[in-house]
Amino acid sequence: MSTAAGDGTGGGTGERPGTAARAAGAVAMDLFRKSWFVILILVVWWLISATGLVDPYKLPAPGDVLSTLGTLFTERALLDDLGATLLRLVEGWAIGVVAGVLLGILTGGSRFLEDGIRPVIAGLQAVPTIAFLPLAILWFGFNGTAVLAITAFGTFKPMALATYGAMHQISPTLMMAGKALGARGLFMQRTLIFPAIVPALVTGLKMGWSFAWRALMAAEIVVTGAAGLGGVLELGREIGAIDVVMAVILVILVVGIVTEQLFFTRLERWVNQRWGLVGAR
Amino acid sequence: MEQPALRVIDACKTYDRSDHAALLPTSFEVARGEFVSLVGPSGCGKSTLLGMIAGLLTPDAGTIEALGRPVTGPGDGRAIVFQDAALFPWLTVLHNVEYGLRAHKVPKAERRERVEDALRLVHLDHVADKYPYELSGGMRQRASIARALVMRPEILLMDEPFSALDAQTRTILSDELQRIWLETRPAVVFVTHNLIEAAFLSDTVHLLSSGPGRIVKTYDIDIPRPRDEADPALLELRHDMLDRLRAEVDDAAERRAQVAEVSAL
Amino acid sequence: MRARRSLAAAVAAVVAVAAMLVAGCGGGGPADSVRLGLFLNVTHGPALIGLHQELAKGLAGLPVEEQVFASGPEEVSALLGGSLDAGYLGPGPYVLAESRAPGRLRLLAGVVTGGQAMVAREGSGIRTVADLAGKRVAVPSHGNTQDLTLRLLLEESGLRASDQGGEVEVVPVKNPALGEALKQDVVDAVLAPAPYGEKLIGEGIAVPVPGIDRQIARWRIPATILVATEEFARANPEATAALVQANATAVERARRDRSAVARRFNERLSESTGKEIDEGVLLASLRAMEPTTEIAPGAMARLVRAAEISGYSGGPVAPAALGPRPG
Repeated sequence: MSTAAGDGTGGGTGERPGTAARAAGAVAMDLFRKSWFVILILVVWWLISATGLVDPYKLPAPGDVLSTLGTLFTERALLDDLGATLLRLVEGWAIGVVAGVLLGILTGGSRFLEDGIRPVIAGLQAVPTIAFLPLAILWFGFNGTAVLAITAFGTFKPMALATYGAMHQISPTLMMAGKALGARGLFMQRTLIFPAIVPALVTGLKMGWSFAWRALMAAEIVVTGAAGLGGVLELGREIGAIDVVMAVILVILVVGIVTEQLFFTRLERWVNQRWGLVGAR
Repeated sequence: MEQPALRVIDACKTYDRSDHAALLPTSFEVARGEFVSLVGPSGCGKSTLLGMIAGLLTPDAGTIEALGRPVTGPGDGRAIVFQDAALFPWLTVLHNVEYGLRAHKVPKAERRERVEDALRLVHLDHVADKYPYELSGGMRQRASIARALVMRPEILLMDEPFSALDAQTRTILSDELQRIWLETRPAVVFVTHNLIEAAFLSDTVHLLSSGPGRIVKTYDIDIPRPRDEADPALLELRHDMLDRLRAEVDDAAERRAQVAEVSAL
Repeated sequence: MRARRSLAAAVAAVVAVAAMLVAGCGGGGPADSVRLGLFLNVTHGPALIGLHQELAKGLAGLPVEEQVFASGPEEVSALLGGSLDAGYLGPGPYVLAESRAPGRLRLLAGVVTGGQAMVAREGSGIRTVADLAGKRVAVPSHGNTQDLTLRLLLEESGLRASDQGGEVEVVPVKNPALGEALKQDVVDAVLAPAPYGEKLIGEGIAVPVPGIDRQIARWRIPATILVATEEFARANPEATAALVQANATAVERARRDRSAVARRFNERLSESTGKEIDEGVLLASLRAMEPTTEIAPGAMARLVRAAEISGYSGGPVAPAALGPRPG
């Protein structure tokens, strides 16, 4: 209980002197706990560049990368690229999540269907999604739709596998309770199996998100023309501008940390509480 | 003569890949409105027997009839309460209790009424909108009982429903169960390893022994209701059952020792 | 206590990675082989026939190890990172490398000049550079020779690329996707490296634009050049001279016998990929390029200018880097 409420609840009591200072100290401690490694890397990075031990074209200085980042935002409208990429990412991810979970739930209840389908998806998981890009371009065109399809497909595979995995972990007692109460077929899938796998799916969602990122970046690099971070990343690579590449990597990293902290961690916490995974033990 | 609620005829189960205890061919009947307990140490097959009656396990041989029809699956006038309550954690108490009615497509207005009645019966109407994780173990088990009773079962199956609770809560809930049963009068098959609980609640107690599981003695208890757990008659009964069980355990140990000797030769 | 120990471990790990990065910058002695990069492109024809004969015998006693690349930036990274000693590549990536890491590479000689063609979708109405206004033109990648050439064409006609706020949209499209991009109306024209222009024409997907081709030909922009790392050239002057000599011989043979280049190219391509390119297409594209070790005066400076106006350049390029320095 106390771990879940640790970072936000101290604000209510401000009467006694020193409480506020202690709360501020706790916030600072929390901030440090989450950022010390980043600070360490930055310091070492800065030290290496400042001493000139490594050529700047191999490792640009942190300051240079930041100023490149600034230039990208002001002159190349990186915000548009970021927006376009995030939109595609969320769309492709959502499509892939829904498709993967639906397939998993609808076929995971049957040994026959699962035994036939699961190995195929697991096998496809070993194939980089980007290998399907030429096919996607032929089917959907040399445009954003092909990129979206690749992103969705990249999410679909781990989501379907995560759904199968989660279904095997449903408590047998819950299944028995549902059956004894008369749940069958679609009603059971909708009201029992789906909600029962939600906590395990949250982990799958995170994995799907990272697979969506990978597929999207790889596809954006090839299908250029539209705005997108992948295009900027490729531009940096093509003109040999390591600072541009690192700046874009930095943006992707920050987006990753922010989504993890603001979305997935909160979602996980909420689900764990609501599903009794914290309270029950 | 009135048809019994439940008829178990030579039902048996051997070890299989699941962890259910083995059970020798076993027969007994439960009259309508009768409270029957299956009591015994762990591994005596009492939960296996209950699972077969519930329709969640299939007997290897023998038949089980509920309300005159052979048991082929769960439901059909039988409701079950599990040891760990098995509430759906993502639903409120109210929606947990409502679940079976939704599965049976009971109209909404009727659903609401029956759920309210059931919650009132187990004294949980004040926590209808809480989630299972917000409840104590005892309250969860009450909710589980309400979820079963709302189906208006003619047969209520209970699989060690109080064994995960502390002694005090267990006593209170036993009392409550007696009251609820007297109000609703389903036939009950109650599995427990607690002798006093079984004696307190039941019209009939079947004592089972392990290795392999079988009914070793049956007690008919006609102490008038409502009963009191401190009733000396109950304590005496408990004593008797305990002696019987001890003898069984010694027998079993002796049998094992003999087997070991024989195989050592 | 425990946290402190893990912190120390984390610091040690970061420092170890940093140390590896720093240590990776050593080297500089005489080599025991020549690691030579190239593409399986028809514009690298002299390199391919050279590797079959002259280079196969080694350079000043050093064996030659070939490494095939698919794109200039990777080859430049390999050269700058020290995993390659010399390489055949396009002048675009070389110019950009010089602008970001000046003096690391040494331009040794020219190899092939020409080798690019403007082709357009039929009915696009593109005949001159001025017609490109409002159109979408594909190039293989940002900052490559075709992209830079296109920007020179646009500048000369008073046009600008859309990424510079202009009226011509420059779309990077990988060579294999060019056909689909034209067919699906994603682009109107392509400034393609050989043999892709000729291939698109042969497949009936695009038509030539001779007016623009003639304009490009005036500048005599190289398609392929030969470079070495400065470090290698300094430490191994004999091998470097031998490389320049072997290149000259191969270029001369390619100039005399185009069909030998086509044959060798297809042989090599089928060794690696099991595929061949239509001989007619190959010969047509070989006719549109000229094997020569010379680099036309001003051609490299033009590319530097193109890199500057397009915002690709990382800094000024020394004039000395723009001509061959074989010795």
